[in-house]
Amino acid sequence: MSKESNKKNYRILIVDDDISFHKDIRQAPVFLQHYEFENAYDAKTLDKFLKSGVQFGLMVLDLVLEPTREHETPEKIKEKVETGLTRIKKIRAAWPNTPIVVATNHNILSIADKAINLGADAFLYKPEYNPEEWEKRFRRVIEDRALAQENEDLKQQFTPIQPPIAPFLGISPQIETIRQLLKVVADRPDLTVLITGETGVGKGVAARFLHYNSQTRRDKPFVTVDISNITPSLRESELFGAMKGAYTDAKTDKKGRLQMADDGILFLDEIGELDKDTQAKLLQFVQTKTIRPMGAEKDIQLDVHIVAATNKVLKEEVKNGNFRLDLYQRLKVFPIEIPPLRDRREDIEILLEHFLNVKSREFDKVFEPDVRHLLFKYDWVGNVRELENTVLSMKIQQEVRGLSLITFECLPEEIQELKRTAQSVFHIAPIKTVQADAPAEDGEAIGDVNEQQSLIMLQAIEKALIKKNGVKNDVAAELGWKSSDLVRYRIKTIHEKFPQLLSHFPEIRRRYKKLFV
Amino acid sequence: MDIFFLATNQSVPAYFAQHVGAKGLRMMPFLYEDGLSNCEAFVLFSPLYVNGHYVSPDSVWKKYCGQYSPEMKFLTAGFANPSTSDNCLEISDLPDDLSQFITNAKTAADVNWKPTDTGGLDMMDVLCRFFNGHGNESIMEQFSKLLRIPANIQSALNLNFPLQRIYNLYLSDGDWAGRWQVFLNRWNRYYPFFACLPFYPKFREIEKIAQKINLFFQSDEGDINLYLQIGCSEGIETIKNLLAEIAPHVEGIK
Amino acid sequence: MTPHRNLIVIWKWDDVENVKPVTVAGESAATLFCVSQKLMPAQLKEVLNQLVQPNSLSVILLHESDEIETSSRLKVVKSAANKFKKQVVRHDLFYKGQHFIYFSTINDTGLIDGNGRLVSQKSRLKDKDGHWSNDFSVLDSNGDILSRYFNTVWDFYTHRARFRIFDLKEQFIVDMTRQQLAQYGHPLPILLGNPDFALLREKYEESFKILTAGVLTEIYKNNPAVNQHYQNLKNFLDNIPLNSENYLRDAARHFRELLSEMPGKIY
Repeated sequence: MSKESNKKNYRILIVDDDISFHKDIRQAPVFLQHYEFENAYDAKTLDKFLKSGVQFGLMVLDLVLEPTREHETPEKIKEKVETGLTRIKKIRAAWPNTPIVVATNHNILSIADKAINLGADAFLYKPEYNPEEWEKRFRRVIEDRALAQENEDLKQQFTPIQPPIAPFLGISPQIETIRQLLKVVADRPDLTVLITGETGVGKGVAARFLHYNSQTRRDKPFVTVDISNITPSLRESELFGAMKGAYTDAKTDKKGRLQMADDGILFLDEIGELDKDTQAKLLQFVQTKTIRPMGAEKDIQLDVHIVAATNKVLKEEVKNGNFRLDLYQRLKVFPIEIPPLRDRREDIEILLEHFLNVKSREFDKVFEPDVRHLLFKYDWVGNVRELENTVLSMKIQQEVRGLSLITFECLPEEIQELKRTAQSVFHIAPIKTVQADAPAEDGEAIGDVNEQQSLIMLQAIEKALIKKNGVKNDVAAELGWKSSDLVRYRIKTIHEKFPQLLSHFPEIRRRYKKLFV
Repeated sequence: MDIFFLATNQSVPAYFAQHVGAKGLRMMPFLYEDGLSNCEAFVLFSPLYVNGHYVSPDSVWKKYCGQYSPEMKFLTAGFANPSTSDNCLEISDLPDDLSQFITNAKTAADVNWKPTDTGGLDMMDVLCRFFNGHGNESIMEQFSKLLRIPANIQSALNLNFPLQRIYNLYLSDGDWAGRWQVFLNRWNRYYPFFACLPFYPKFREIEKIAQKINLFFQSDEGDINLYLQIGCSEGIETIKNLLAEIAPHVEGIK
Repeated sequence: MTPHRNLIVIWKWDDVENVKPVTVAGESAATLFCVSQKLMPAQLKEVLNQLVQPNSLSVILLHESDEIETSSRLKVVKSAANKFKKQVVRHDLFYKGQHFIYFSTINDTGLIDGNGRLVSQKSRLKDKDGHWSNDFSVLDSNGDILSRYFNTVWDFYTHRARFRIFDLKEQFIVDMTRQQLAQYGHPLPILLGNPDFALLREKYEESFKILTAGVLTEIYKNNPAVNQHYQNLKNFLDNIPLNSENYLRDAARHFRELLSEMPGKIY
């Protein structure tokens, strides 16, 4: 479809006391054919339009709708600008879907920021009038708002975006070898796979890669269990299921994860956290391929390919008496160790390409050379997950700051520090179990939210804080949550669970600094 | 040492020269073409007599010299007051050791002294009113309006509009001529005062361009070809840029 | 018979369509005429022809503005001044700045605010401390102009006293004290009568009138400080030889002292 045929007839309302401005826009060559205009020269006429029920494709709005008089103090002029900014809110309330472009003679960044935060879609500086550029901007703003409206509805739910099945990326010889190994073992359900490596190296991704490459199980369930996320007392029922009445809260029969993974693959993450009793039961399954749910009288035969993962050194755990030797020996039948990212830096480029969705030859259109250099130099103690989170965080910072490129300032402090010192200060906090004692306002147990969801939640909170200037009740309202206490609670809980994430959100850290002391 | 000076009443520097000559100092008239780069000391005889008015451009000169020749000794001289400042000379009561006085004077960039009020029109105030307007639009707002029509004309040329159509759309109603006249009214009123200012050459350049552009507005035809030949759009853009270069030298611009 | 004094101010008056007269309290022979600057040149010509009468004196002040086309209106004013040479004692352009017609809260002089009105409680102006205030007014309770405000403005524009004194200070005293003149050492009255100084006398004749015709005494009859300093200056110029020690310094001082007592600026 050609660009020309894409053009629609737009109806634009210009709100400005400068009659010549109305005339110049109306008569601009690019607007002559496909645009029609209505005019409001003062606030009174604007109000009439707002009450009339008429809708426009776009509004072009000047902030000051009265001429400046002699003897007008700077405070008076500022007051007029503030009134103009407040007007944006009023317009937005009456016309939530109409794009608003502020066009003014005042090229002050703070005014532009305020205007955008109050609901304007773009800010144009009149002395830089360029009809072609303005027309493109108008069209873009109209299209962006339509898209933003759709996204807004989706974002409200905080539904975690399920990542697409990611190929197991890397060009290093180590990753190449691991890919080959995973392909080999994908259709060997008799071989229990134990994937080891530091936090964030991609153990889960490797497990999915295995699933994807299984000819027989690709279309069958891939069930994930993060052992560390389950309260110890609930692990048995979670894995093996429970009959109604098997324990106090068991009001119905509950299918365990192993049953859900029947014919497919069960990915047991953080297997090193498993308690001894549950280890015993798991061992039994590995040996007999049968389970007995809690309170059940009979065993159930299952066909599940077990893929386990841990960042612990299980050998040491066995030595320390924390892990059963026999289970360990059955699990380590096919061990795969994924090296840390700092030991295979050649993989950083392809991972960045993937997370940024941009080829490496176009990196200079995404970030400054400084940034690129530091990204390759940093040690990535949190490995691929840290890299992914960092990319997300940089993009958030870029968007919030309104930059065309990711700059040094968008980097997390730890990476910025590289420029000053040679050391990374990123710490991995020990993973704690989250107590699911949250106020049950939304009926959602925060303990169920994983890292990706936490990041999305923090992103939304960061944006809301900036938009609402840190007014916490307004932030809660913006997020659709009942109270500001819930905002605080969620930040606190995420901080306890994933403390490394918060370094990417300076506004949250500023507004809730007591949480981070 | 050579002391460069600016004055409109030639009797005054002549009188002054009699004193400094005796001390081995030489008075040299300041020439815009030469600029300030070789000036060790500069004396502004204030007020100056420009356009039938006494004007005091002292603070404009100090700010300008402070930027472009910060180490230079900048002094003002006149009959305003008995000298209460290290940098202001009372001509009726010159110090015995003028050479020493000049050596001890503060530099142009030193913020610890302000020129005395010599009683003329405060040129910083005049410049401020020129740029800000008074109850009117600022000069930059005027240019913002002025340049919209050329932007539309250029856009129309890019889209291969017939010249007659361009004329009909953007020039035939005289609106653009009216906007130009609004600028010209202000310009003609203020320009004669600018002859006393350090960046007068820029204003002179603006005057030349304005006169050239005025040929288009004075022509009866309103011919687009004439518009292009004279370079009206480029000329207005150049005037705007020159004003933008001058603006930082003016305090109080909104 | 005292000629009627007409102060004709062509400006962006707030509530004036064409012309509006304003009386001066206690002065039957003085009127302020508020003329709208929006009048076309032809209309303005008509108005001025009506206002400038044979047995009157007029001061015509035209506001300079970006919006109105000033030069054609100025032509009309100059033409009226030329036609009525004896009646139009002064005509000038004015604009916001130091022009005397604008009210000065420091000197308590002037008539208009910046927003199209005679200064009254509707006018918001900065007082000498820099605070905005509505406490100034040039009008009495009947809406007539208080005579002292009118007269000060009239005197300023007709005599340009302050400008002339300033001009003498800036131009004359240095001319006078150049070495080759100082050798003569004559006091001022002799100087003025001396044919050697004919050119100099001609150059400063107009300005000297302010000192010799008793004009200052008349204008500032209510200002003893001005009169005192004026006398001091006159005595100095009349009696002190040019080649006396510190002539230039003392002359400058006398001029300055007089100027410091005369309100307003030099235009």
